[in-house]
Amino acid sequence: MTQADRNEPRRRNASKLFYGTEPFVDDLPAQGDWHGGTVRSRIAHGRLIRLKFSPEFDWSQVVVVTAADIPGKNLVVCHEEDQPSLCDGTIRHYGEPLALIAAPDGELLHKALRAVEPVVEPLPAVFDPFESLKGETRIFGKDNLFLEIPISKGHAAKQFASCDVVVETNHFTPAQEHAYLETQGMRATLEGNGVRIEGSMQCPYYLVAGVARLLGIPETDVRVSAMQTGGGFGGKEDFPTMLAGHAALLARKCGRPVRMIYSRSEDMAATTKRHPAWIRRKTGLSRAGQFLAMELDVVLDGGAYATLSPFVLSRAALHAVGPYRCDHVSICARAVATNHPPNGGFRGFGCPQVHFATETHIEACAEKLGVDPVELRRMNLMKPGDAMPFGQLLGPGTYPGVVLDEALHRSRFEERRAEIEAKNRTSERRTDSGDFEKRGIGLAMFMHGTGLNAYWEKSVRSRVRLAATAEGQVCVLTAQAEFGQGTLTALAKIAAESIGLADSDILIDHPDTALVPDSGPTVASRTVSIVGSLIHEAASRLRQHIEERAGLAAIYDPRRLKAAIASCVSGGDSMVFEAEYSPTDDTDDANTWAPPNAYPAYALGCCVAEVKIDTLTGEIGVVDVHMICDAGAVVCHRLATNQVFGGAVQGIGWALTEKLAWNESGGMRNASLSDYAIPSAADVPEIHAHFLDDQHSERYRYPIGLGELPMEGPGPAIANAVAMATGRRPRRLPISPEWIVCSQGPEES
Amino acid sequence: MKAFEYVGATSVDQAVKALTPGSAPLAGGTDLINRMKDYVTSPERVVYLNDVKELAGISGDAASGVTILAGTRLAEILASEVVKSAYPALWQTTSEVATPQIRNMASLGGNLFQHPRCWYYRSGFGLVPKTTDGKHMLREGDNRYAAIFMTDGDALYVHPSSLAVPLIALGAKATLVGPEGERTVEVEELYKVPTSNSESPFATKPGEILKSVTIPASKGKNASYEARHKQAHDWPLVMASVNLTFSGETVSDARVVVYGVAPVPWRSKAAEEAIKDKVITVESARSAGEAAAAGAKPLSMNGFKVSMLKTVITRALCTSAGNKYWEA
Ligand SMILES: Cc1cc2nc3c(=O)[nH]c(=O)nc-3n(C[C@H](O)[C@H](O)[C@H](O)COP(=O)(O)OP(=O)(O)OC[C@H]3O[C@@H](n4cnc5c(N)ncnc54)[C@H](O)[C@@H]3O)c2cc1C
Repeated sequence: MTQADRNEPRRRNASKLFYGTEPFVDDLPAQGDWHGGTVRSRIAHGRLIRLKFSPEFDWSQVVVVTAADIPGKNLVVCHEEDQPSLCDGTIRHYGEPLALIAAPDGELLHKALRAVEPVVEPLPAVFDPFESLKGETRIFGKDNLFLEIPISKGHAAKQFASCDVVVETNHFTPAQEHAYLETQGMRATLEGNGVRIEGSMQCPYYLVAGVARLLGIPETDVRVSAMQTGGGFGGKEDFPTMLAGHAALLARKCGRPVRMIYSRSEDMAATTKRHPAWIRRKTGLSRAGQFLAMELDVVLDGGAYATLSPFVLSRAALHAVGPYRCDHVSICARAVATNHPPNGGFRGFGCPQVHFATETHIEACAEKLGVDPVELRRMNLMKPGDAMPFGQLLGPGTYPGVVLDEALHRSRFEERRAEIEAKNRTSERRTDSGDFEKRGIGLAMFMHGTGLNAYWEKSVRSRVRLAATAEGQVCVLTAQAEFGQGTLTALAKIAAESIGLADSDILIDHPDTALVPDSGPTVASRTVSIVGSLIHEAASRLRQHIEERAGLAAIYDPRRLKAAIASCVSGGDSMVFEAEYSPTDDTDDANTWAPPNAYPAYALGCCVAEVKIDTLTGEIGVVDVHMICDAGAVVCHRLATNQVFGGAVQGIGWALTEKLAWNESGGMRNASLSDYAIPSAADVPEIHAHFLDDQHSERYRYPIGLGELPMEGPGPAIANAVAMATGRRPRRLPISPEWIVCSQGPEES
Repeated sequence: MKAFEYVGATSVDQAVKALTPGSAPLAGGTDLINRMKDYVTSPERVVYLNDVKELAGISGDAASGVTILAGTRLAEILASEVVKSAYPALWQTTSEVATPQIRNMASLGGNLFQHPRCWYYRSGFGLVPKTTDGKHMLREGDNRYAAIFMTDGDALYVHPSSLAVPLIALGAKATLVGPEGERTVEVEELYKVPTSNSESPFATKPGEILKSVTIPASKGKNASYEARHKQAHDWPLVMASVNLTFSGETVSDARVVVYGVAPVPWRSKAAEEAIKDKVITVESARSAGEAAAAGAKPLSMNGFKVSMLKTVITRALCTSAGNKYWEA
């Protein structure tokens, strides 16, 4: 059976989405809703003296909320308690919320927003993390360091002396905009003593905690309903907590529902981005090519507030070496505060940055040694039982080498490379000044630990619930949000298969915290892997219960099972089954950011990309992409394939077109989709997705997270292909026509 | 978006009457609506032109010239056999504009009167964006996509319409209609260079709209060549359109117009001179490209456009003559 023709359930809400009947937050009927907006800072750093309200505007028509109106704690609840919901006197970034306004209609709201002028006293701002570390401008704590994670194994510093070859390279990867289809949007309604939030989000329970703290009310008085969400990519992980708080503050003050829907330009200018990263990599090798010692510095620009930076940094540090073995490693990873708007969660979460550095650095090592970069990789790839720098042993069945071989085979890498080499030498398309059409093929390995790291996964204590109905159907109750990735479809399929019912007898809907237990955030590629395994566990309890009541025969036939469930319900059994996450081994509670058994499993990938470059116009076309993914069992092939396509396109954009330009105040200059260029269909070639999943090993019995993985390969693979085509190694992304055409382009400065 | 009054016009006459000061004509809306949403442009009244039947259609032929009415959609220009065969410079450029969906909506008039894409303009700082202390935001800031010609002046953005470029190369004329009646000007004359934010980049009179564009009979050969960052859904980085008349093998008259290098479609007289009386070869084409680059004064980040300029001119010239711009 081929991967494509497996009998797969249809996407749960496909027809509603197709016909436009599945409501997104802004589709909710207006029940006297007012429109909320945000007065924002136009400077990067300074003191807010006061807000000047124009006397020409009739302020009785609108409602204004400032920090003074916050009944609870003026805080966006996240890891560090550093980010105010509304400016508390010190402005730390462009676009920082200073006040909120609600008005009966959008036009009046806009007028009101324009009638407020912040009176500020600017302070020097710092946008460069290395400048920031000097501490002359104070943004966070004593030293502007959100977090430093040192990881050390063996004696790297000493070992370099005995290496035959030492290679050192610097790399930079840029900020990236999520560009989800639906902008951030939230609606708050007063309900009982508390507030009801409906909106676009990934993590409903984050909003419960955040809104309760902000309003100073118990969490039980906050009800959060995730709507169908139009894409998240990590951008709706932490930010919605702030937006829900803002909508709730306005609703409370004006006594009616308030909706806040960001325009595209506000969304792009005000919300988080992928962390820009500066990575220095130094490797000592033996003449034969063995990695003997490594030193890595990773610096992330966290922006003005910590948000998720410590978590992103942790993942970056834990994956910094990639799937390679080395006995002497020293890693210093730092997340630094600057006066840029805060950077936050984004698909890959620190991995794309470090993999870019690793996979382009290895090519430089191979060049220095004069060996084939593929062979250099193969020689150093880990095998099960090999230790990572922080102590974890690569689990059974985890073979990066197999993934590499599959990629070489499926992409005909070596043949294509030889053909391209020959063609580049005798290009048809040449002028007397030389060839201008060059091709290149490049490859990159990548890996992604599933779930939050062990410490945090344990602290979440995720719970799922299955509840049977009188008809014998089963409701799946989790806090997992559906934002296009197919959560509802995949979790329902896991439930159907684990219970033994037909897919149509599983009920699942967008999470509402009044109904679902906290199964943790919809992030970190954990939905199908971690939450899916909890559903499986709860399902076994349900089956066991039926077996006890109705006998073994009842559970083997879906129709009899359904009848048995119905009769248990009508017989008065509660028929509610839960499962709670319990870590498989003791994690070291002191080691929050680099716990020794960081992740229960690692997904692996290899990307091969082929490019065509016109060296005179600088146009770079990606002509072929192969993505080989090993993410354990694949639950729904169609959804998984879509993840790979989407991730690859996002990776191509990050590599080639998505250039974020900053304004003088450190905010986004090109905050529109006409100016910030995400790839169009015409910029994307056919993507060949292949999963390693039908083998007989234990590894392929359970899913390992796949959501983020595919984003991580195209960047370095394309950079390596460009290096082959041009003979110049890109150390920075995005690789632009300017850089191709003249080495003195802006990317080099 | 600011609330506005809406007038649906069904005749040119009605449209012109409705276009009182503070009004804007609306065609496909692919540019205007976005500017309205972002409060870059906030007209009091919007006059919808798409129901004006006298404004849509293409007539004429290669021998006598072709007239395209202002409301004609870009998709219809692409469907025109005569444009495709006689004016490949225009056809090729049209085919590369934006996306099929946008080409289905966008009109010729809207294309020629679209506003610049300059980031600073689109963020509300005007076409001559300066800080309160007088610093030019584009000169000092991120100017990678800005002009490389006329940079001694204060208008540093680049002209956004890629259709204006082949039309000027083809010597097209624009017919405008307004309160004072009709007048016809060169397409080139539709544009001017503002020196401050209060000036318009268009040389039209108050209340005037474009009625049609007439391209003269096709005599020689014409072509366009563009370099892009993205292959769709984006504007070109740099583009050249050329229109050549020959006497025998040699070029007797040339028009070379370039996109993406100046606040107006840039007519390169230097390139025109250089190719005149020459036979088109890769070498002569390249010399013309070199000549075009001579007066360029790039800003801090856009030096790359100078070499792109040479390349697109070389290739447009070679393509027009049916030569390969590469050697076999
Ligand atoms: C993603 C994207 C990519 C694009 N790429 C390109 C490209 O490569 N090349 C290119 O040239 N363009 C490009 N465009 C711009 C697009 O071609 C224009 O937006 C479109 O042609 C405008 O036509 P419209 O009918 O929608 O104009 P509208 O938006 O309706 O109007 C545009 C302006 O013209 C005025 N106007 C309209 N009709 C008349 C008239 N008859 N007389 C006088 N003024 C009039 C309006 O008042 C308004 O100011 C792109 C646009 C997008 C969104």
